Amino acid sequence: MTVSRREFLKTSAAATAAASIGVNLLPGMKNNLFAGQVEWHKSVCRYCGTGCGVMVGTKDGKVVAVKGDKENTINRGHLCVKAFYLPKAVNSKTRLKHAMIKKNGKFEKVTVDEALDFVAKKFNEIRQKHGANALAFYGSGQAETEETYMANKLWKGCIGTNNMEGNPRLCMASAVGGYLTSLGADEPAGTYQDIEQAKFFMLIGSNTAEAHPILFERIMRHKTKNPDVQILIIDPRKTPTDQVADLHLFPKPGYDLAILHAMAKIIIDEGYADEEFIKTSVIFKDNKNKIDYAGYKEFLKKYTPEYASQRSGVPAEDIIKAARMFGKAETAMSLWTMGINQRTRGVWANNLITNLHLLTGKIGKPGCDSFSLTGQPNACGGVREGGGLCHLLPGHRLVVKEKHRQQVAKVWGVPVERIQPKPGKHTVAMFEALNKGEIKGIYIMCTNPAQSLPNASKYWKGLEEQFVVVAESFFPTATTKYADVVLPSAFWTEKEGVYGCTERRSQYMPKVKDPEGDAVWDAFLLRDLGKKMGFVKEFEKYQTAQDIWDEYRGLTKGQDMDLWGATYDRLKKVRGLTWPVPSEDHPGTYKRYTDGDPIYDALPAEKKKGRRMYFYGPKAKDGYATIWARPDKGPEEPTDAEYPLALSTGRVMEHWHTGTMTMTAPELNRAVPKAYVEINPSDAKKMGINNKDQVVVETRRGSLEIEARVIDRPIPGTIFIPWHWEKWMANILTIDAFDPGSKEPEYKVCAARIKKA
Amino acid sequence: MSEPISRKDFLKEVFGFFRTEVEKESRNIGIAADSFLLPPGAGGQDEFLQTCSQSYQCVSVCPYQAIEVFRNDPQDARYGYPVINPRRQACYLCEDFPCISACKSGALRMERKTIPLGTAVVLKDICFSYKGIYCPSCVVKCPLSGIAISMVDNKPVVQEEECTGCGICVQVCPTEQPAIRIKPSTQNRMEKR
Ligand code: SF4
Ligand code: SF4
Ligand code: SF4
Ligand code: SF4
Repeated sequence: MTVSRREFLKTSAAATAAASIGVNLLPGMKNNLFAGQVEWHKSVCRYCGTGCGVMVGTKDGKVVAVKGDKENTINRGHLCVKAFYLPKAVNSKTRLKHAMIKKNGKFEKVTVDEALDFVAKKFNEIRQKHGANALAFYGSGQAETEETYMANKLWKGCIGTNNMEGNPRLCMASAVGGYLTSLGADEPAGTYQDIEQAKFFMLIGSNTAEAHPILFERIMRHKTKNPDVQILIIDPRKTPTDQVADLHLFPKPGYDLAILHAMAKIIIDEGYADEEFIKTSVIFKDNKNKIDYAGYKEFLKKYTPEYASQRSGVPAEDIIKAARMFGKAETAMSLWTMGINQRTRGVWANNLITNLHLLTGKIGKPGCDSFSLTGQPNACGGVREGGGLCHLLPGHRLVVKEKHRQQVAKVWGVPVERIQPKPGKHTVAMFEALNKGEIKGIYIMCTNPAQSLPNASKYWKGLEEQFVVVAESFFPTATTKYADVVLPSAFWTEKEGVYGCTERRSQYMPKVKDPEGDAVWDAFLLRDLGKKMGFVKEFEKYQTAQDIWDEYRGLTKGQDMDLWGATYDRLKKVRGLTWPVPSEDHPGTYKRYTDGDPIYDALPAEKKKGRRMYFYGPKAKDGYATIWARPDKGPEEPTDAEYPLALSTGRVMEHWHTGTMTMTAPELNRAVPKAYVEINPSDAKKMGINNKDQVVVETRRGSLEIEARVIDRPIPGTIFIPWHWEKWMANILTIDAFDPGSKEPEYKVCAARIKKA
Repeated sequence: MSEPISRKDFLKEVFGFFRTEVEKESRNIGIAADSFLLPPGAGGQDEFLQTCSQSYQCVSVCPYQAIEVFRNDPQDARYGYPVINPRRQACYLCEDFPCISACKSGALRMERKTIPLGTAVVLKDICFSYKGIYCPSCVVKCPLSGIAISMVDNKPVVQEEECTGCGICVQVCPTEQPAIRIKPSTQNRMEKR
């Protein structure tokens, strides 16, 4: 090859590439190719719960580019690759553009109106014949708050059933349970601002680098600038997050509770506890009863580093080191996600993390927090705050509380008796009931349960047999296969609405283009369905997104998650607001339960006397947080001779959830084209498995043929499969056992075996 | 009512035709423009072209179909010779190097198996990470992650002495044209030998 030829190839390739990745649109470019033609709109990333601010570029009514919003405090202009390729999802050929009804096993194209008429008729028939509880709704942490609000009203307030759930049950429910029981109210006390002030991080059950890339980028930048920042990782698997680790503990999957107890014991024994804070702000409970500090210490006696080591397989000296790191650090922040939540003792695991912060008083101060990372962009906003689960009502309210039902019924304009006082069926129970035929009709919105449910294939029966409506922006998905009616939903950028991310921040997204084909905004599909079912008076008042938001905003007034001051007008201007925001002149709250929190500030002085923090949440009593002496429990399905490996599932950075969106970008498919099972080299050797061999992974629930990746990421005795692909569906294998408190399934641990295909 | 769609189009849509199309597209992105590497165990290009008998044994034994026959440009001296296009399929540097074992002509030699195929070079002007897009794909997927290539200040940095030139980073890079390329080590191989 001649020099000139090589040079030629190189420069021409670079030029094509520059145009194709849109370098000209990215920060630091002098010549903006599209200058003057592209219109930029402030919005929010469609993907993960980090909630990065994006600027959406449109030209001639099309979305042509996405870039980071430099003014957004979350990401300051940075994005991960998924977000960069969002225009490909918007413009994908896999977009669903018209409604369809299945007749004799085949989909036939109909108008949206015809489809809704049909659904209304069917739903009314079912309701009359089998009662309201034979109907169900299954929503999403990706739906806007306004959309979930409409579904909530239609199901809980109009149809009259609490069988109204959403996929955050599968990802955040344990964190909700954890916060409620530990701090008295859901959602974290601090915000992302704490990251830059933390001297120590405990990343537990989180592959932050791949699941929350921009937060990881912030942590990494913070550590690069401040090399004395210490990072502890607790995770059974070595992940790209390890780049920043100072110490990594590798517990056997599902056996980390003992480690957290042992850390608490060392913290107390070695004098790292904040005795003053414990005295003024904390009470102790064992599983049921109130105990005292002495009783808690007694409980901890058993949890020596040696005992924890024997339970978890982590060397005792590492556990001691970890505890000292936590104890010594001036400020400490814990971050966790699915590795903690998706467990049969997810709530307990959440409690035990917060225990460490309460013991050391490392909470309610800058750089200190017990901070759960959310998976989906609006799991916090729409579903946790909006009340999109079977036991909740909007504004952190509960269906079991008469007062709450009254408040909501009044705003909804429905008789209070219509809202049942008993929680409906939680996700696993709901799909179980579908299998049994107790639920005869379900409306699924913006989610893909046929692939994302644990032990997925078990639940295909119900989806096959009952009347299933799927509202989606993409087609086909694993779930649309089972649909009797498919409704085309407007996608991100084709509708306005609010997303609330991990840090209690609500952000506005504008509509910047028309929906593709016949697609309609989900909230209006639900509104029109409501009207067609006979609830005309209840639904005709909603003409705009703002109508819905304002009604919801009213319901949050005076609640712990007060959004009264977060009007559309304000949200359109600012980069989101962190609640509580009680009034239009309130700037939003950085820290809850302490100075600067409007709810704390408004408390009578005698309550706060001598107290740095006052936990005022609905589940807290007299302002105390709770340290829990929870028993130590392993996974539901421990490994045994027959199934000797522990299987974990998880994510890669390039894809998101069931791949409906990320797999529209060929570039992302190229980066990670298929699923694989990671096997530790020592295990692979024993089984004679080589890299790239086809293997069969089996559990008691199913088997999956998949490519082997021999790599020292999972510890010996464990295997890992990323779950994004329908073709290699990891959830065929996972277990549907769930946490008795949060009802969140244990995706993260089950027993498996492998053989060569 | 929107425009009617033909039954054929409709079926295509229903059966996930578009998904397959995207999958196909995924495999082809940025292949054409890539630079090619000589198979493991090769010496310098001149020596290789003189010794290789074009029996394509290496092509047929490679379990990953990493080696292909160069047909891109009839004017190029390598026309008809085995090469690796890392953008299409990188080399996994198999422990036992079946490609070298299969080579009977002496063009590929075991004693040269440790010589890198080349060195990865990040093209900073198109790499996402240099443009504010967080993208560790190459670093995460490199078999020598953290050794041959690591994230420094949130950007990929190659350690030239450690990089094997396997090209996995090139294969996975999620830009349309790879933002990381392998500088073929024709030169290196001669020197290191
Ligand atoms: S980190 Fe999450 S929110 Fe931010 S750009 Fe990536 S996917 Fe979007
Ligand atoms: S080392 Fe293995 S992967 Fe690489 S070219 Fe040879 S046979 Fe193919
Ligand atoms: S950086 Fe890593 S993946 Fe890329 S060529 Fe070098 S060794 Fe291979
Ligand atoms: S994968 Fe490509 S774009 Fe991403 S950091 Fe590496 S070279 Fe840059």
